[in-house]
Amino acid sequence: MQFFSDLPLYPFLQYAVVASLMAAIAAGVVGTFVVVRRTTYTAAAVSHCVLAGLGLARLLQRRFDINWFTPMTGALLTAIAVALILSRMSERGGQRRDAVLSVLWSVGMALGITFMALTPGYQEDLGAYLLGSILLVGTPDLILMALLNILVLTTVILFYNRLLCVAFNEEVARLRGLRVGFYETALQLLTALTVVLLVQVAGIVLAVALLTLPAATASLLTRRLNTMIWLAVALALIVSVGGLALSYGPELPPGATIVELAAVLYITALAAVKVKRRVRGAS
Amino acid sequence: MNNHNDPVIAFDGVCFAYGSNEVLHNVTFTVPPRSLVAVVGPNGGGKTTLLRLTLGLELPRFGTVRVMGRSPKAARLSIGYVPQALAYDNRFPVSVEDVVLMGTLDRRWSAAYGRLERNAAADALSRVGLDGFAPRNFSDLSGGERQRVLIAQALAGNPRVLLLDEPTANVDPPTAEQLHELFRQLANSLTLLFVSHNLSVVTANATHVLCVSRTASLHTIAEMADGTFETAYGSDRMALLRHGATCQVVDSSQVLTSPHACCLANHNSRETP
Repeated sequence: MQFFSDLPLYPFLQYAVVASLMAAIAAGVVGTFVVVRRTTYTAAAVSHCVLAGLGLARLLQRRFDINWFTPMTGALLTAIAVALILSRMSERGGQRRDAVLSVLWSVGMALGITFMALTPGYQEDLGAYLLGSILLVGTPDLILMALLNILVLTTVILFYNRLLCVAFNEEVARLRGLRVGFYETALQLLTALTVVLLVQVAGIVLAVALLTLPAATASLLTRRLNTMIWLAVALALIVSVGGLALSYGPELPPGATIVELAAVLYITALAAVKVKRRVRGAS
Repeated sequence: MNNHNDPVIAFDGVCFAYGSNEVLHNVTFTVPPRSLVAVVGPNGGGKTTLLRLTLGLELPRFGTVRVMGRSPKAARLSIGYVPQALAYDNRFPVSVEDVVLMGTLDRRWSAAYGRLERNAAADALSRVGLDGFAPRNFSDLSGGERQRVLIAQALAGNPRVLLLDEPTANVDPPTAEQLHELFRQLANSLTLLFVSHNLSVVTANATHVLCVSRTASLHTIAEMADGTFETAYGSDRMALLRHGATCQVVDSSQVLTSPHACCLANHNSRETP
């Protein structure tokens, strides 16, 4: 396979593999909590809102020479802001969650498109963010991904029992004296940061698929949250590196190939579970 | 500091409303220690709200609630609670042991459960008759088994007060009898409040009856046996339906359609068809 023969020769491919591995760890761990808490819609809203941050950053750079405000900085700040708005909304209640998510989702996209239109010149980077640019990741991106993985793993290892309880039933957690708002915000922030990381790999449009498909596949294969996390990480590793390798020879878009491979695994697992149930029912 | 015979739960002039809808008005009562209190009253009469006020999940508009001499929030870890229905995802990947262990969580942080917590969980499962259930999937259990797991979860935290909102509503009669036997045993060491609509269960098991219908009044079971139930109930909407040996509290509108109606709890009249 051409990918594996070229891998030792080209640093950009090695960077892409390392980025895939790191994206897989975050996607598997955080994606599991997103799937069991049924907050996929939240992750999708964050991912689409990120376009506003990316567009604003490029506008400030090109028109006002504010070069420290990189698109990645804009994306991170937007994602954090959206996560904080959503967790505040969860604490207070009152508003219809699906309606607020739809508003954030569409306003974020609209602002992004407007900022892009106001920015002079060709928006090559923004196109990459929409569809993913794993072959373009550099050392600063990898450092950011590594830091995010450390944050995700540390939080989940230290607070696993509490996160499990909050995800299972918030009232039980509240009655045991846990600060539910704190853990809720922590999960929202981790989801938002992971989405930004995945935007680099699969793009705004497909990031949520990479976040949720491996975890959803794992949920078909196990009935324990900790096993589901490990399985989701393993599946995310297989689809991200596998998708990258499959896309390389025929020059397909890597992000789309990764998501397609994840979807194939999900459908296969779903079919296997159904066959197993039918066989068990017949015997 | 709470003395041995001080009231475990004390409501003093408590009023509570959801918006403009007043659910509880000027509720005052005290629950003595090691009592088994049946909470009875009509649907929407404020029973669950009263439990939530005791837990500190709701705050009174007026009046005070004290649990073991402290605010409900301060006493929360000493209170076990089994809700009427647990809102959770039926496909949530969690074992029975995981669910029971959640009852041992407290504000002190620890990355993993220790031997103490695991022993408490195993002991609690044994007390509710679910030995060997620890590794099973919570979502695979029947409604009655899940209810018993939730009671085990409440017991795993070593509570001094146990609040149960219709704990036997979804279990078969033999299991319900086992649970009430467990409640009677537990009442030797802690205070229990359980919501029930089944008066034969109430009279057979409780030491006290707390009648809740916007207001509340606590009576010993002896007072109830004297036939003061209807008066104590304080509602003109309630009736007792007799089904063989059991007697159930229902809304009086059902009396018109039921051949089993035996008496109408009314301030002025008592009808026996």
